[in-house]
Amino acid sequence: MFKIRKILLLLPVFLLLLIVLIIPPQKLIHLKSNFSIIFRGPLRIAYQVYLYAKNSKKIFSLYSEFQRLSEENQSLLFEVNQLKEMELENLRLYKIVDFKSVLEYKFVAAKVIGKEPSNWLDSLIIDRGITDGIYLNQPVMNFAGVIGKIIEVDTETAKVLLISDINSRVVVKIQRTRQEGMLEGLGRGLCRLKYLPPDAELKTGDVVVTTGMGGVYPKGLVVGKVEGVRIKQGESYKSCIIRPEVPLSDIEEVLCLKSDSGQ
Amino acid sequence: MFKIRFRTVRFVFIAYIVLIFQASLINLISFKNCKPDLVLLSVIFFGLYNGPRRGTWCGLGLGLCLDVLSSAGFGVNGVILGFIGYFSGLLQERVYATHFLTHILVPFAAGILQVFLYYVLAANFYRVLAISESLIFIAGYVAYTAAINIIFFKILDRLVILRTTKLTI
Repeated sequence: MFKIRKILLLLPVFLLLLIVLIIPPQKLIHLKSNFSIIFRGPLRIAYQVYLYAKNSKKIFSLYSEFQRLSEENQSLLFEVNQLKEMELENLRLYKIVDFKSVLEYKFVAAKVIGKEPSNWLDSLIIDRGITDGIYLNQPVMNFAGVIGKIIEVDTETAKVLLISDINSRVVVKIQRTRQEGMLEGLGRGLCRLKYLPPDAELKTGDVVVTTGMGGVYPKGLVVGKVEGVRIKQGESYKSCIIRPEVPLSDIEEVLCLKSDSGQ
Repeated sequence: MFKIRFRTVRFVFIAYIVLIFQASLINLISFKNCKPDLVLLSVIFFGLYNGPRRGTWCGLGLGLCLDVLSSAGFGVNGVILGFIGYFSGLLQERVYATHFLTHILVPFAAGILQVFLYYVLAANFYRVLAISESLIFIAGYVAYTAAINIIFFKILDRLVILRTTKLTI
């Protein structure tokens, strides 16, 4: 009798389990969004404290960093001038061949206010929502490259599934060789590029860019660089480890790409 | 007229702080992207000190709140932490809650149970990394969480278990 009473204590857990198993996760997202309001304010403050504490560690290396950046700035200015010329030339050529331009995208800038609390998934919480024009499956990036896409959105916040999440899939290609493959998350800030042809020529440091297929990410956005090539026995394709161009554990601000068509 | 258990109010407040901490400041002490799970430790703590009934409810509540902050399907963490709260509560009369070894071994076992339940449950909804690929990470996560608990239980002990006060309004 005593044991049965103790087992009955698990009844709410089994009820929840039943709910979780029966109701599709997509239908419960709205419920999640409604509750997220209770964490929004304090989470925003706590994340700012986290960033402040994290950045304060770097203060000792600031001078040498400043010197390095000054030198880099000089060479980049030279590069920018060259690129401006090329951009104008590109635009002229686009007009000639009547190409659909990538420049039709606009950005919504957002601040990161929280990170995935568990160790098993990779996601971020940002401080923009439906009221700012954020929508599901919207691509998220910063100036360095692709970060992920929006998977949950409420009125004032949204969740971004990082490209390093195990559930993330992006069709990409190696910029140098133009060979296509599927980029999937590997967790812990890394990705794996799969389904490359067995004869694919890969080099460490090769840049990986989006192909535009799949309808989420526009073409030509930098995703990351090849870090290590793996050939598994018995597999008919080549795969390699990709380190995302954006250090996914240190993101402070993101840009949500907005197409002119709205969604 | 109703009574508020001061200890419960205090625990709710601490649980809220722990959740906020887990989604932000915990990353300061993450090692190779592995961070200790303070929410799990809070559930174990509350279960150990308050028995299976409260342990279960505490696990359910904290798990559902964690689901709100996480990109996991709603209810997954609720179920997992509900079970862990229940089993921690069952240990209340079987182990010395204040013993040093309890503070290490119970979170270690709970961490393994959490990973097992996660793999069983989460695989229904989304892809999970093959155990063979993440075995080292799992071992590191469980060990790190158990190690952090030596300090964390002491902090919670001071904050929550000081005394039970009944306020009458």
